[in-house]
Amino acid sequence: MTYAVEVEDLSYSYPNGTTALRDVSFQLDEGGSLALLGPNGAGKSTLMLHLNGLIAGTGSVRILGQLVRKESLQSIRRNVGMLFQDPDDQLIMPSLWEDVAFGPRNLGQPEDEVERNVAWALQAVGLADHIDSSPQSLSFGQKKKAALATALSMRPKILVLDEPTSNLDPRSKRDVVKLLNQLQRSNVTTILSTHDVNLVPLLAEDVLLLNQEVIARGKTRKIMGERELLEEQGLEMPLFADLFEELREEGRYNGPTPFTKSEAKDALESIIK
Amino acid sequence: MNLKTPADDFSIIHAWDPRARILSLMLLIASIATLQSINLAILGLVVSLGFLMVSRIPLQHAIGNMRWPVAFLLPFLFILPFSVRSDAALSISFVTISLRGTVLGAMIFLKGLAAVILAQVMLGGSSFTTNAMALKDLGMPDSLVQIFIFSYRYIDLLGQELQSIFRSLSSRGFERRSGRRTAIVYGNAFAALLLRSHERSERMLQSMLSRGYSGHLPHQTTRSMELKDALLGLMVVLMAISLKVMEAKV
Repeated sequence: MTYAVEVEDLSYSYPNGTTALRDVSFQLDEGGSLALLGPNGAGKSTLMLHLNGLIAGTGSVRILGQLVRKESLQSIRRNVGMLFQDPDDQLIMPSLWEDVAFGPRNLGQPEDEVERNVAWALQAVGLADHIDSSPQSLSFGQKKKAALATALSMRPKILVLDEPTSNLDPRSKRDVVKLLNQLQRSNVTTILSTHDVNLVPLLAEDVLLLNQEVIARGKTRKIMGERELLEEQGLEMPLFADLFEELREEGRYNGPTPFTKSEAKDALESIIK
Repeated sequence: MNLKTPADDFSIIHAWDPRARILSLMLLIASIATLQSINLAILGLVVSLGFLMVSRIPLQHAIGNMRWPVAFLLPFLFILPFSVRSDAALSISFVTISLRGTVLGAMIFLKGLAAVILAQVMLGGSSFTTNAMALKDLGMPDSLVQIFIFSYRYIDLLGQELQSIFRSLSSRGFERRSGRRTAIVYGNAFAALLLRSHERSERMLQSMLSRGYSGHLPHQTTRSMELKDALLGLMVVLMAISLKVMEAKV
């Protein structure tokens, strides 16, 4: 079976000798969604850079069955779109249009196709009206969406997103979640890292708990419900789950753990009844 | 100068091939800048104002862009009449205004103004990247063109980072004085900026590589040069030559 992403025994140390990843292995099916969780310095960003062939450790990384190596980089980058944590690192051209066209042009797409893809990507992130804006004139939330558009315009089958919602206001956060859900519905495989545990159930079906090595891998609802496991890694449970697990421990609730607002509402109603 | 000059409407300057526009207007600027006659310098300014009108660049925007160049040119207009020794144009009490100094100052001012106006027309007709790509087509090395393009975007960001460094210094009670300590703090601040810039440039490169960058900026499809572009260019070159011929005859 061909996986969208297949990582096997991946290890990486920084030039100063610090170990970032140790024997990391996991697979992700096409169209799947995976959240990488872990404390600061756990190696999440380093792992993500491997998926696009931007750094190379020992072990192997396969994208849609293709081994990531020097000879396959152009093809890998055609399939894997990346969103970096700081959008200012990603917006490099004098205008938004040129920035979003940068990837498709590098791929050698004909100009009419470039224009179609740029228009689609800007429309998808809701920045079609800012086509001629310079990146410095955009707000942080708009920059984040613009950076996402620069990856989307390459029409990648896999999206790798490093903290896609960090530093965003609530509305921008909701917009990004909505957009990612739309992409996931259109079978785009997504791998993302986040420190916002409350968003994880909304963004990913699976979770990979990482702290230089794989600590746990499983369904989001299972992993995010394990308080001890999360706290050992300096993380916490999502707010609703945390509250109702406490109620369960006190013997006041015995239903399924809620992760979303509507689930929490149902759970609350069951307690009141 | 804001190089991204807006125009009220699309003009003949905007429709003109950027390569022909840059090359011919550069020649015209050089021709005006080397004029040695005040009358021709006035003519040069009139010609440049004509181009500004044709380009439909809003006057307010053009004037805004000329603030700093004019601030640089104005001292010539006011200092040279008093500092150049020649026949007196006017003498009031102990103050003597030199004729040659006045003419020289006015000539430098007029030529400078004309050059700044023409530079706006030259660069304002298309986006910064299109202009940079046109320079590449005219033989500028690819690496230099890329430096131009990326600098244009990141100079602003560097300014913001420097500002945040100085804000953080002020928030911790730092006050600028003229002592050794200030020099050391400034040195450290610029070193921090350099370090941040280096780290950012590495992350930038990674983001570019992730989008298929291979060391070269993909060439945008520039339309092929048409006869009207060449003719317009030729007309401007003829203007430049005419100014020099007129100067030779004066």
